[in-house]
Amino acid sequence: MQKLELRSALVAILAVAFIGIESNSDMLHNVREVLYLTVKPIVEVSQVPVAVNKVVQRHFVDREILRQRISKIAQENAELRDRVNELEYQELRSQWLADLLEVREQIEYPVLTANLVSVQMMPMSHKIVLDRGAQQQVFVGQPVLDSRGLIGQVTEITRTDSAVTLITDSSHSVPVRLQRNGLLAIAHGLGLHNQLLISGLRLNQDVEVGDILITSGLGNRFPAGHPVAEITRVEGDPNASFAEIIAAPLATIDPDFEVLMVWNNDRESLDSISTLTLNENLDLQQ
Amino acid sequence: MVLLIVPVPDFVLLFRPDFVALLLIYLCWHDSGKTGVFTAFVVGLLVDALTFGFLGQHALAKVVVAYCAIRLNRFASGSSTLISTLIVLSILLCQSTVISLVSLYTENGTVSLALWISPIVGAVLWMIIAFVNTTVKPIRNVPIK
Repeated sequence: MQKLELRSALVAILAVAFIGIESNSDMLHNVREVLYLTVKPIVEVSQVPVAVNKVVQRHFVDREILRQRISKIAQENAELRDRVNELEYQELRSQWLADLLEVREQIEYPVLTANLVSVQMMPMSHKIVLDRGAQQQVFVGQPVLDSRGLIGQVTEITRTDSAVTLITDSSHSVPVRLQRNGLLAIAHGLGLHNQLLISGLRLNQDVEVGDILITSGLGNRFPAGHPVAEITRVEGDPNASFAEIIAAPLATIDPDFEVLMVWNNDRESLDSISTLTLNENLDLQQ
Repeated sequence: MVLLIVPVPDFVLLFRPDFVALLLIYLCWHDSGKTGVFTAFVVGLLVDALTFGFLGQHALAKVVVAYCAIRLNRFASGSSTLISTLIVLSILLCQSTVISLVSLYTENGTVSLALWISPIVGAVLWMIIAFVNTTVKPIRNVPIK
Protein backbone atom coordinates (compact mmCIF):
# COMPACT_ATOMS: atom_id res chain seq x y z
CA MET A 1 0.00 0.00 0.00
CA GLN A 2 2.81 2.38 0.78
CA LYS A 3 4.00 1.79 -2.71
CA LEU A 4 0.66 3.05 -4.03
CA GLU A 5 0.83 6.16 -1.89
CA LEU A 6 4.37 6.80 -3.03
CA ARG A 7 3.55 6.31 -6.68
CA SER A 8 0.42 8.41 -6.31
CA ALA A 9 2.30 11.19 -4.57
CA LEU A 10 4.98 11.08 -7.24
CA VAL A 11 2.61 11.37 -10.17
CA ALA A 12 0.48 13.90 -8.29
CA ILE A 13 3.56 16.08 -7.77
CA LEU A 14 4.41 15.60 -11.40
CA ALA A 15 0.90 16.66 -12.38
CA VAL A 16 1.04 19.70 -10.11
CA ALA A 17 4.42 20.55 -11.60
CA PHE A 18 2.87 20.34 -15.04
CA ILE A 19 0.09 22.69 -13.93
CA GLY A 20 2.57 25.09 -12.41
CA ILE A 21 4.81 25.17 -15.46
CA GLU A 22 1.85 25.40 -17.84
CA SER A 23 0.32 28.33 -15.99
CA ASN A 24 3.57 30.30 -15.82
CA SER A 25 5.42 29.52 -19.03
CA ASP A 26 5.25 27.97 -22.46
CA MET A 27 7.83 25.30 -21.74
CA LEU A 28 5.40 22.41 -22.19
CA HIS A 29 4.42 23.47 -25.68
CA ASN A 30 6.38 20.65 -27.29
CA VAL A 31 5.04 18.12 -24.81
CA ARG A 32 1.50 19.27 -25.62
CA GLU A 33 2.20 18.96 -29.36
CA VAL A 34 3.45 15.39 -28.96
CA LEU A 35 0.48 14.53 -26.81
CA TYR A 36 -1.90 16.12 -29.29
CA LEU A 37 -0.36 14.17 -32.17
CA THR A 38 -0.98 11.03 -30.13
CA VAL A 39 -4.64 11.82 -29.61
CA LYS A 40 -5.26 13.31 -33.07
CA PRO A 41 -6.73 10.07 -34.41
CA ILE A 42 -9.24 10.26 -31.56
CA VAL A 43 -10.13 13.80 -32.62
CA GLU A 44 -10.64 12.61 -36.17
CA VAL A 45 -12.79 9.69 -35.10
CA SER A 46 -14.86 12.01 -32.94
CA GLN A 47 -15.67 14.10 -36.01
CA VAL A 48 -17.17 11.14 -37.89
CA PRO A 49 -20.64 11.56 -36.36
CA VAL A 50 -20.50 15.24 -37.30
CA ALA A 51 -19.63 14.37 -40.88
CA VAL A 52 -22.36 11.74 -41.00
CA ASN A 53 -24.83 14.20 -39.51
CA LYS A 54 -23.80 16.78 -42.09
CA VAL A 55 -24.34 14.36 -44.97
CA VAL A 56 -27.71 13.25 -43.62
CA GLN A 57 -28.80 16.82 -42.96
CA ARG A 58 -27.63 17.96 -46.36
CA HIS A 59 -29.51 15.11 -47.98
CA PHE A 60 -32.78 15.80 -46.20
CA VAL A 61 -32.52 19.56 -45.96
CA ASP A 62 -31.49 19.80 -49.60
CA ARG A 63 -34.47 17.72 -50.60
CA GLU A 64 -36.75 19.99 -48.61
CA ILE A 65 -35.14 23.09 -50.11
CA LEU A 66 -35.43 21.57 -53.57
CA ARG A 67 -39.08 20.78 -52.96
CA GLN A 68 -39.66 24.38 -51.89
CA ARG A 69 -37.79 25.67 -54.91
CA ILE A 70 -39.77 23.46 -57.28
CA SER A 71 -42.98 24.66 -55.70
CA LYS A 72 -41.87 28.28 -56.06
CA ILE A 73 -40.75 27.77 -59.65
CA ALA A 74 -44.04 26.05 -60.50
CA GLN A 75 -45.91 29.01 -59.06
CA GLU A 76 -43.74 31.47 -60.98
CA ASN A 77 -44.19 29.38 -64.08
CA ALA A 78 -47.97 29.51 -63.72
CA GLU A 79 -47.83 33.28 -63.24
CA LEU A 80 -45.54 33.71 -66.23
CA ARG A 81 -47.77 31.47 -68.33
CA ASP A 82 -50.71 33.68 -67.38
CA ARG A 83 -48.73 36.74 -68.37
CA VAL A 84 -47.66 35.14 -71.65
CA ASN A 85 -51.28 34.23 -72.38
CA GLU A 86 -52.32 37.78 -71.57
CA LEU A 87 -49.57 39.17 -73.79
CA GLU A 88 -50.51 36.83 -76.61
CA TYR A 89 -54.11 37.91 -76.24
CA GLN A 90 -53.11 41.57 -76.24
CA GLU A 91 -50.91 40.98 -79.28
CA LEU A 92 -53.79 39.30 -81.07
CA ARG A 93 -56.07 42.11 -80.05
CA SER A 94 -53.67 44.82 -81.16
CA GLN A 95 -53.21 42.99 -84.46
CA TRP A 96 -56.96 42.83 -84.80
CA LEU A 97 -57.29 46.55 -84.10
CA ALA A 98 -54.47 47.33 -86.53
CA ASP A 99 -56.27 45.33 -89.20
CA LEU A 100 -59.51 47.14 -88.41
CA LEU A 101 -57.71 50.46 -88.68
CA GLU A 102 -56.36 49.43 -92.04
CA VAL A 103 -59.85 48.55 -93.21
CA ARG A 104 -61.16 51.84 -91.89
CA GLU A 105 -58.60 53.63 -93.98
CA GLN A 106 -59.53 51.64 -97.06
CA ILE A 107 -63.27 52.25 -96.76
CA GLU A 108 -64.38 55.56 -98.14
CA TYR A 109 -67.41 55.77 -95.83
CA PRO A 110 -67.65 56.73 -92.20
CA VAL A 111 -67.19 53.80 -89.85
CA LEU A 112 -67.66 53.15 -86.16
CA THR A 113 -66.24 50.38 -84.03
CA ALA A 114 -68.70 48.35 -82.01
CA ASN A 115 -68.40 45.67 -79.38
CA LEU A 116 -70.36 42.47 -79.30
CA VAL A 117 -72.96 42.38 -76.57
CA SER A 118 -74.20 38.88 -77.30
CA VAL A 119 -74.20 36.19 -79.95
CA GLN A 120 -77.53 34.52 -80.70
CA MET A 121 -77.00 31.44 -82.78
CA MET A 122 -80.24 29.55 -83.45
CA PRO A 123 -80.40 26.59 -85.86
CA MET A 124 -81.34 28.75 -88.85
CA SER A 125 -81.07 32.23 -87.43
CA HIS A 126 -77.65 33.75 -86.85
CA LYS A 127 -77.63 37.11 -85.13
CA ILE A 128 -75.33 39.15 -82.97
CA VAL A 129 -76.07 42.17 -80.82
CA LEU A 130 -73.78 45.19 -80.90
CA ASP A 131 -73.46 48.01 -78.37
CA ARG A 132 -74.35 50.68 -80.90
CA GLY A 133 -77.93 51.77 -81.52
CA ALA A 134 -80.11 54.66 -82.53
CA GLN A 135 -78.08 56.97 -80.31
CA GLN A 136 -75.14 56.45 -82.64
CA GLN A 137 -77.26 56.87 -85.81
CA VAL A 138 -77.16 53.21 -86.59
CA PHE A 139 -79.66 52.39 -89.35
CA VAL A 140 -81.41 49.27 -90.57
CA GLY A 141 -79.47 47.64 -93.36
CA GLN A 142 -76.18 49.06 -92.17
CA PRO A 143 -73.28 46.76 -93.13
CA VAL A 144 -71.12 45.30 -90.40
CA LEU A 145 -67.70 43.87 -91.11
CA ASP A 146 -64.34 43.08 -89.60
CA SER A 147 -60.83 43.15 -91.03
CA ARG A 148 -61.28 39.74 -92.64
CA GLY A 149 -64.66 40.02 -94.22
CA LEU A 150 -68.31 40.96 -94.22
CA ILE A 151 -70.23 39.95 -91.11
CA GLY A 152 -73.80 40.94 -91.93
CA GLN A 153 -76.22 43.84 -91.71
CA VAL A 154 -78.20 45.59 -89.04
CA THR A 155 -81.81 44.42 -88.95
CA GLU A 156 -83.10 45.76 -85.66
CA ILE A 157 -82.23 48.82 -83.61
CA THR A 158 -82.86 49.89 -80.07
CA ARG A 159 -81.72 53.10 -78.50
CA THR A 160 -78.45 51.65 -77.29
CA ASP A 161 -77.99 48.36 -79.16
CA SER A 162 -78.54 46.88 -82.55
CA ALA A 163 -79.12 43.36 -83.85
CA VAL A 164 -77.10 42.23 -86.84
CA THR A 165 -78.20 39.39 -89.05
CA LEU A 166 -75.13 37.46 -90.15
CA ILE A 167 -74.47 36.51 -93.75
CA THR A 168 -74.76 32.85 -92.67
CA ASP A 169 -78.38 33.41 -91.55
CA SER A 170 -80.74 31.37 -93.73
CA SER A 171 -82.73 34.47 -94.69
CA HIS A 172 -79.70 36.49 -95.75
CA SER A 173 -78.26 37.05 -99.20
CA VAL A 174 -75.35 39.17 -100.39
CA PRO A 175 -74.57 40.18 -103.97
CA VAL A 176 -70.96 39.17 -104.60
CA ARG A 177 -68.43 38.79 -107.33
CA LEU A 178 -65.32 36.69 -107.80
CA GLN A 179 -62.25 38.70 -106.94
CA ARG A 180 -60.20 36.88 -109.58
CA ASN A 181 -62.41 37.42 -112.64
CA GLY A 182 -65.31 39.62 -111.56
CA LEU A 183 -68.05 37.08 -112.15
CA LEU A 184 -71.24 38.11 -110.36
CA ALA A 185 -73.13 35.82 -107.98
CA ILE A 186 -75.24 35.82 -104.85
CA ALA A 187 -74.14 34.36 -101.50
CA HIS A 188 -77.02 32.87 -99.54
CA GLY A 189 -76.91 31.93 -95.88
CA LEU A 190 -77.68 28.31 -95.10
CA GLY A 191 -78.09 28.55 -91.37
CA LEU A 192 -74.70 26.92 -90.94
CA HIS A 193 -71.96 28.97 -89.34
CA ASN A 194 -69.30 27.98 -91.85
CA GLN A 195 -71.15 27.64 -95.14
CA LEU A 196 -72.66 29.92 -97.75
CA LEU A 197 -74.42 28.78 -100.91
CA ILE A 198 -73.24 30.64 -104.00
CA SER A 199 -75.83 30.89 -106.77
CA GLY A 200 -75.82 32.43 -110.21
CA LEU A 201 -72.66 30.80 -111.52
CA ARG A 202 -72.67 28.22 -114.29
CA LEU A 203 -70.50 25.12 -114.30
CA ASN A 204 -68.73 26.17 -117.44
CA GLN A 205 -67.76 29.47 -115.87
CA ASP A 206 -64.30 29.95 -114.44
CA VAL A 207 -64.82 29.12 -110.77
CA GLU A 208 -62.27 27.33 -108.63
CA VAL A 209 -61.96 26.22 -105.09
CA GLY A 210 -60.03 28.90 -103.18
CA ASP A 211 -61.49 31.81 -105.12
CA ILE A 212 -62.31 34.77 -102.96
CA LEU A 213 -65.76 36.33 -103.18
CA ILE A 214 -66.04 40.05 -102.49
CA THR A 215 -69.04 42.33 -102.19
CA SER A 216 -70.14 43.57 -105.59
CA GLY A 217 -71.75 46.75 -104.26
CA LEU A 218 -74.90 46.11 -106.27
CA GLY A 219 -77.96 47.50 -104.56
CA ASN A 220 -75.80 49.89 -102.61
CA ARG A 221 -76.44 47.86 -99.48
CA PHE A 222 -72.83 46.78 -98.87
CA PRO A 223 -69.66 48.66 -99.74
CA ALA A 224 -68.10 47.14 -102.85
CA GLY A 225 -64.85 45.19 -102.79
CA HIS A 226 -64.95 43.86 -99.27
CA PRO A 227 -64.10 40.14 -98.81
CA VAL A 228 -67.05 37.90 -98.02
CA ALA A 229 -66.11 34.22 -98.39
CA GLU A 230 -63.74 31.72 -99.92
CA ILE A 231 -65.04 29.01 -102.24
CA THR A 232 -64.54 25.59 -100.70
CA ARG A 233 -66.53 23.31 -103.01
CA VAL A 234 -67.63 23.41 -106.62
CA GLU A 235 -69.94 20.58 -107.70
CA GLY A 236 -72.82 19.93 -110.03
CA ASP A 237 -74.30 17.77 -112.68
CA PRO A 238 -72.58 18.49 -116.03
CA ASN A 239 -76.03 18.55 -117.65
CA ALA A 240 -77.37 21.11 -115.18
CA SER A 241 -77.04 24.79 -115.93
CA PHE A 242 -75.82 26.03 -112.58
CA ALA A 243 -73.08 24.72 -110.37
CA GLU A 244 -73.51 23.97 -106.68
CA ILE A 245 -70.90 26.14 -105.04
CA ILE A 246 -70.22 26.29 -101.34
CA ALA A 247 -68.09 28.97 -99.72
CA ALA A 248 -66.82 29.58 -96.21
CA PRO A 249 -67.33 33.05 -94.67
CA LEU A 250 -64.10 34.90 -94.00
CA ALA A 251 -65.26 36.98 -91.06
CA THR A 252 -65.02 35.49 -87.61
CA ILE A 253 -67.25 36.25 -84.68
CA ASP A 254 -65.31 36.72 -81.49
CA PRO A 255 -66.98 38.30 -78.44
CA ASP A 256 -63.68 39.89 -77.39
CA PHE A 257 -62.97 41.71 -80.63
CA GLU A 258 -64.54 44.80 -82.11
CA VAL A 259 -66.32 45.02 -85.46
CA LEU A 260 -66.85 47.90 -87.83
CA MET A 261 -70.18 49.47 -88.71
CA VAL A 262 -70.12 51.28 -92.02
CA TRP A 263 -72.09 54.38 -92.91
CA ASN A 264 -72.22 53.70 -96.61
CA ASN A 265 -74.16 55.74 -99.13
CA ASP A 266 -77.49 54.15 -98.36
CA ARG A 267 -79.18 57.53 -97.86
CA GLU A 268 -82.66 56.05 -97.53
CA SER A 269 -81.70 54.14 -94.44
CA LEU A 270 -79.87 57.11 -93.08
CA ASP A 271 -82.89 59.30 -93.70
CA SER A 272 -85.15 56.82 -91.95
CA ILE A 273 -83.62 57.78 -88.67
CA SER A 274 -83.44 61.44 -89.52
CA THR A 275 -85.15 62.32 -86.29
CA LEU A 276 -81.81 61.75 -84.65
CA THR A 277 -79.14 64.24 -85.36
CA LEU A 278 -75.58 63.26 -85.83
CA ASN A 279 -73.65 63.85 -82.71
CA GLU A 280 -70.34 65.47 -83.32
CA ASN A 281 -68.80 63.56 -80.49
CA LEU A 282 -69.50 60.23 -82.12
CA ASP A 283 -66.56 58.12 -82.97
CA LEU A 284 -67.23 58.49 -86.65
CA GLN A 285 -64.38 58.64 -89.01
CA GLN A 286 -64.98 61.02 -91.84
CA MET B 1 -11.97 9.72 -25.12
CA VAL B 2 -13.94 9.96 -28.34
CA LEU B 3 -17.11 10.25 -26.27
CA LEU B 4 -15.50 13.07 -24.29
CA ILE B 5 -15.05 15.30 -27.29
CA VAL B 6 -17.68 14.17 -29.77
CA PRO B 7 -19.78 17.26 -30.59
CA VAL B 8 -23.22 17.20 -29.00
CA PRO B 9 -25.97 19.76 -28.47
CA ASP B 10 -25.44 22.16 -25.55
CA PHE B 11 -28.07 20.58 -23.31
CA VAL B 12 -26.44 17.16 -23.73
CA LEU B 13 -23.05 18.68 -23.05
CA LEU B 14 -24.22 19.62 -19.57
CA PHE B 15 -25.09 16.00 -18.77
CA ARG B 16 -22.16 14.30 -20.45
CA PRO B 17 -20.46 11.98 -17.95
CA ASP B 18 -16.70 11.61 -17.75
CA PHE B 19 -16.40 8.31 -19.61
CA VAL B 20 -12.63 8.23 -19.15
CA ALA B 21 -12.92 8.41 -15.37
CA LEU B 22 -15.62 5.74 -15.38
CA LEU B 23 -13.44 3.45 -17.49
CA LEU B 24 -10.48 4.16 -15.25
CA ILE B 25 -12.45 3.16 -12.14
CA TYR B 26 -13.67 0.02 -13.89
CA LEU B 27 -10.14 -0.97 -14.96
CA CYS B 28 -8.74 -0.24 -11.50
CA TRP B 29 -11.33 -2.60 -10.01
CA HIS B 30 -11.29 -5.36 -12.59
CA ASP B 31 -7.84 -5.25 -14.21
CA SER B 32 -6.05 -6.82 -11.23
CA GLY B 33 -3.41 -4.13 -10.67
CA LYS B 34 -2.45 -3.51 -14.30
CA THR B 35 -4.11 -0.12 -14.32
CA GLY B 36 -2.74 2.23 -11.74
CA VAL B 37 -1.89 5.82 -11.05
CA PHE B 38 0.74 6.00 -13.80
CA THR B 39 -1.76 4.89 -16.39
CA ALA B 40 -4.21 7.42 -14.96
CA PHE B 41 -1.57 10.15 -15.16
CA VAL B 42 -0.81 9.40 -18.84
CA VAL B 43 -4.49 9.15 -19.70
CA GLY B 44 -5.10 12.43 -17.87
CA LEU B 45 -2.34 14.13 -19.86
CA LEU B 46 -3.89 12.82 -23.09
CA VAL B 47 -7.30 14.17 -22.00
CA ASP B 48 -5.65 17.53 -21.29
CA ALA B 49 -4.15 17.53 -24.76
CA LEU B 50 -7.44 16.45 -26.26
CA THR B 51 -9.49 19.10 -24.50
CA PHE B 52 -6.82 21.80 -24.80
CA GLY B 53 -6.94 22.25 -21.03
CA PHE B 54 -4.11 22.91 -18.66
CA LEU B 55 -1.54 20.15 -18.92
CA GLY B 56 -1.68 18.36 -15.63
CA GLN B 57 -5.19 19.32 -14.65
CA HIS B 58 -6.90 16.12 -15.79
CA ALA B 59 -3.70 14.20 -15.08
CA LEU B 60 -3.93 15.16 -11.43
CA ALA B 61 -7.67 14.50 -11.38
CA LYS B 62 -7.24 11.08 -12.95
CA VAL B 63 -4.43 10.22 -10.51
CA VAL B 64 -6.85 11.06 -7.68
CA VAL B 65 -9.52 8.91 -9.35
CA ALA B 66 -7.16 5.96 -9.76
CA TYR B 67 -5.84 6.28 -6.21
CA CYS B 68 -9.35 6.47 -4.74
CA ALA B 69 -10.56 3.59 -6.92
CA ILE B 70 -7.69 1.33 -5.86
CA ARG B 71 -8.10 2.39 -2.25
CA LEU B 72 -11.84 1.75 -2.23
CA ASN B 73 -11.64 -1.44 -4.24
CA ARG B 74 -12.12 -3.73 -1.26
CA PHE B 75 -15.30 -1.84 -0.25
CA ALA B 76 -16.67 -1.94 -3.74
CA SER B 77 -15.89 -5.55 -4.63
CA GLY B 78 -18.73 -7.83 -3.67
CA SER B 79 -20.92 -4.97 -2.53
CA SER B 80 -24.33 -4.17 -3.95
CA THR B 81 -24.88 -2.05 -7.03
CA LEU B 82 -26.04 0.83 -4.90
CA ILE B 83 -22.93 0.82 -2.72
CA SER B 84 -20.60 0.63 -5.71
CA THR B 85 -22.56 3.43 -7.36
CA LEU B 86 -22.16 5.61 -4.27
CA ILE B 87 -18.44 4.90 -4.22
CA VAL B 88 -18.20 5.81 -7.93
CA LEU B 89 -20.17 9.00 -7.25
CA SER B 90 -17.80 9.99 -4.44
CA ILE B 91 -14.74 9.28 -6.62
CA LEU B 92 -16.19 11.34 -9.46
CA LEU B 93 -17.01 14.17 -7.04
CA CYS B 94 -13.41 14.06 -5.82
CA GLN B 95 -12.29 14.37 -9.40
CA SER B 96 -14.62 17.33 -9.96
CA THR B 97 -13.25 18.97 -6.82
CA VAL B 98 -9.69 18.58 -8.04
CA ILE B 99 -10.57 19.95 -11.48
CA SER B 100 -12.45 22.85 -9.84
CA LEU B 101 -9.53 23.68 -7.59
CA VAL B 102 -7.10 23.65 -10.48
CA SER B 103 -9.55 25.74 -12.50
CA LEU B 104 -9.82 28.22 -9.66
CA TYR B 105 -6.08 28.45 -9.58
CA THR B 106 -5.52 28.72 -13.30
CA GLU B 107 -8.68 30.08 -15.01
CA ASN B 108 -9.67 33.11 -12.93
CA GLY B 109 -12.05 31.14 -10.80
CA THR B 110 -14.53 29.92 -13.41
CA VAL B 111 -16.12 26.55 -12.66
CA SER B 112 -18.68 25.03 -14.98
CA LEU B 113 -21.99 23.69 -13.64
CA ALA B 114 -21.46 20.64 -15.87
CA LEU B 115 -18.54 19.69 -13.62
CA TRP B 116 -20.99 18.90 -10.81
CA ILE B 117 -23.77 17.42 -12.89
CA SER B 118 -21.38 15.11 -14.70
CA PRO B 119 -20.53 12.97 -11.59
CA ILE B 120 -24.24 12.40 -10.90
CA VAL B 121 -24.91 11.37 -14.49
CA GLY B 122 -21.77 9.21 -14.41
CA ALA B 123 -22.97 7.49 -11.23
CA VAL B 124 -26.42 6.88 -12.74
CA LEU B 125 -24.78 5.46 -15.84
CA TRP B 126 -22.59 3.23 -13.67
CA MET B 127 -25.63 1.99 -11.80
CA ILE B 128 -27.49 1.17 -15.05
CA ILE B 129 -24.48 -0.69 -16.46
CA ALA B 130 -23.90 -2.54 -13.17
CA PHE B 131 -27.59 -3.48 -13.01
CA VAL B 132 -27.62 -4.73 -16.60
CA ASN B 133 -24.38 -6.59 -15.98
CA THR B 134 -25.69 -8.40 -12.91
CA THR B 135 -29.00 -9.18 -14.63
CA VAL B 136 -27.60 -10.41 -17.92
CA LYS B 137 -24.72 -12.46 -16.53
CA PRO B 138 -26.83 -15.24 -14.93
CA ILE B 139 -28.86 -15.59 -18.14
CA ARG B 140 -25.67 -15.88 -20.17
CA ASN B 141 -24.36 -18.58 -17.90
CA VAL B 142 -27.40 -20.80 -18.30
CA PRO B 143 -26.10 -24.06 -19.80
CA ILE B 144 -27.51 -25.02 -23.21
CA LYS B 145 -29.31 -28.33 -23.12
